[in-house]
Amino acid sequence: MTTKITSGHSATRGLGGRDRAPREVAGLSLTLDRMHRTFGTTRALDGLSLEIQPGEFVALLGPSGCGKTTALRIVAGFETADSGSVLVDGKDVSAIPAAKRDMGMVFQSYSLFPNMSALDNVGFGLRLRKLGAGERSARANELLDMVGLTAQARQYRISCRAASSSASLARALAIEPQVLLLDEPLSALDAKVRLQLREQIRSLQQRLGITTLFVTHDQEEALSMADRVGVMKDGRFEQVAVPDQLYAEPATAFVAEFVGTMNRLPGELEGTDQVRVLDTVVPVKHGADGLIGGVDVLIRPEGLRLEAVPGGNGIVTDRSFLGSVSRIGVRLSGDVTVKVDHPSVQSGEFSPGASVQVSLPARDPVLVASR
Amino acid sequence: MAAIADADLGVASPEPAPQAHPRRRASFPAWRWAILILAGLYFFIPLYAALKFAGFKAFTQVISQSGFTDAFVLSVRLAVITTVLTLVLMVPTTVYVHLRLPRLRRMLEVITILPIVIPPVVLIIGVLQIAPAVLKGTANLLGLEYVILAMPFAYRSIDAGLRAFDLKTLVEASNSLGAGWLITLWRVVLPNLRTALLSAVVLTVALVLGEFTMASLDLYQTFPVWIVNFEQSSGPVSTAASLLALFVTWLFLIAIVTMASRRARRRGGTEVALFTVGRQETGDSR
Repeated sequence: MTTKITSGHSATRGLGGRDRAPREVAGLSLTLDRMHRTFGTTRALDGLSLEIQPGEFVALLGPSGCGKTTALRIVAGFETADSGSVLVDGKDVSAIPAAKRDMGMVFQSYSLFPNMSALDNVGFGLRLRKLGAGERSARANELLDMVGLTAQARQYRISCRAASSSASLARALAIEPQVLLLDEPLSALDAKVRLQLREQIRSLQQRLGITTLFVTHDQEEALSMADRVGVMKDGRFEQVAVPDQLYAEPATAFVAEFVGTMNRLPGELEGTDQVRVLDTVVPVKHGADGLIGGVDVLIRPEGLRLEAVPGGNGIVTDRSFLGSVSRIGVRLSGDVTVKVDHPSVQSGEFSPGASVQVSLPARDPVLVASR
Repeated sequence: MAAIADADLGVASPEPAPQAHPRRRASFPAWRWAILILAGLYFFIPLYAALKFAGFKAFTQVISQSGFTDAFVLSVRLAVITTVLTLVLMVPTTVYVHLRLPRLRRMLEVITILPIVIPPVVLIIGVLQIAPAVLKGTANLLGLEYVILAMPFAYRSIDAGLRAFDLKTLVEASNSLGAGWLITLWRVVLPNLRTALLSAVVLTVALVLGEFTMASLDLYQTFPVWIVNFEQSSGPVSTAASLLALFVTWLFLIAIVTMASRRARRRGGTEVALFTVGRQETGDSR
């Protein structure tokens, strides 16, 4: 792949006649400004705002119906916002039709034109930009080469979903778009191919320095690919942050439980900055505002400690091997179940039925109102 | 209307592509042969009888009969006018409804079936009462009427064709690459509708070449009207003329289909099958 990097560079520079600086420094900023959109009685977007830096890769993550696809489609120009605007490089593009926005889009479903070969698909946008046949096919071939599809260039109706996704990506990149939009392009693929394509998209995006907006409901995808992730719910952002922060310091209970696995334990507030949970009192950094008395404490599986103790506070219910760690299910008193991650090499003693002691090292857990 | 059944017989009995399904041909069970032969007899015995009754001499006389050429040319002209108008009206309408007003599809289905439900006699009387005088004097009026008659067939073909691929995504993909509506229609939608358009054209042409009621009530001497009028003077020659009409229609349809299949093969696409409505509908995942 490294040898192809140079060809990718020259490819992005060489688009006929248009004097653009090399891509690496040419990514444009994208701004979503207070976008509202209502479908009937459903509020799809409720004042969504987001600033994406030039060359940045931002993922919109959320459950279905959270408005992420609507946001993407408004940016692409396929939908219009009731109010609010989309700015590229500081200029409002809201009134520009999709065909003139110069945005490359990769779709969730099969979107290659069945009446054209893979090569002609990739060359389609170049043809519309009046590139000569020779240059067009040279560029298209380069792009197909970049996504590893040289062999399928002459093929019509590529039936392999991964190959067709790659070809769609090449097609979207061919027009040197100002912004790349990805609408769950990996959701129809099987797990292994998905991983490969994930890496392919990310490395191409970084190499070309292209500003990218990516929509997904798969948190693993979002966290592994994006520079920043915006978690959406009911048409607005719950939190926009880098993946590590999203995981370690979720701003809301929704983010805490939507991203990664989360345990919910009953606790009791003591004062305003301490909480008693699992018979331990731990300090609380944030999340205690407006709560009193009984609360729920949210803790990651790796935030709990597990020891095999006769007569402990829990019973092991199940164990699943995840590689270096094993995730152990424990039932505590009061019918509360928790998941605890423990190094796999030391997990032999935690077979179902074993008595264990679950404890909480002093850290800052997130508190939410109990339900 | 009779011509439609004839067209079905002529073109839709598809010679199964010989290389494509060698195994299926080998296991073609006997009862299928029986049905095929029975159906064949049902269609070919009348044809044979007509041929026998007319005699070969009558065929040579047909062309020299008065009015034959005029009637034939008129029918072909009407076929062309009707086909072009039908496609120009129905394709953009159906595409638009599919893309932007999917809820209207049911309504459109009902509207387009009306010409079949309402007898041609009723239609023609209505048209004659409201048509502007400019049109009443020309055969073009008949063309406009045929557009209405062809609507159910054209709509159904195009509708099925549009449901066979993901229209919305392809149109959006084309848009996002910079293509406006016209280019998208021309380079993306129409090529993928080829089979459906072909089927719409074949059905429309067959309909126009065989239509009698409207032309007769409108007092135009189209080919079918000419045959009926002429029958009163010479039975065998008129029979020869109607057989000729049948063969000409078949030739037309076979030519259209062959042309389209050759194009399809050149582009690496699939074989063009004419009447694939059923298969396309079951293939619809939505």
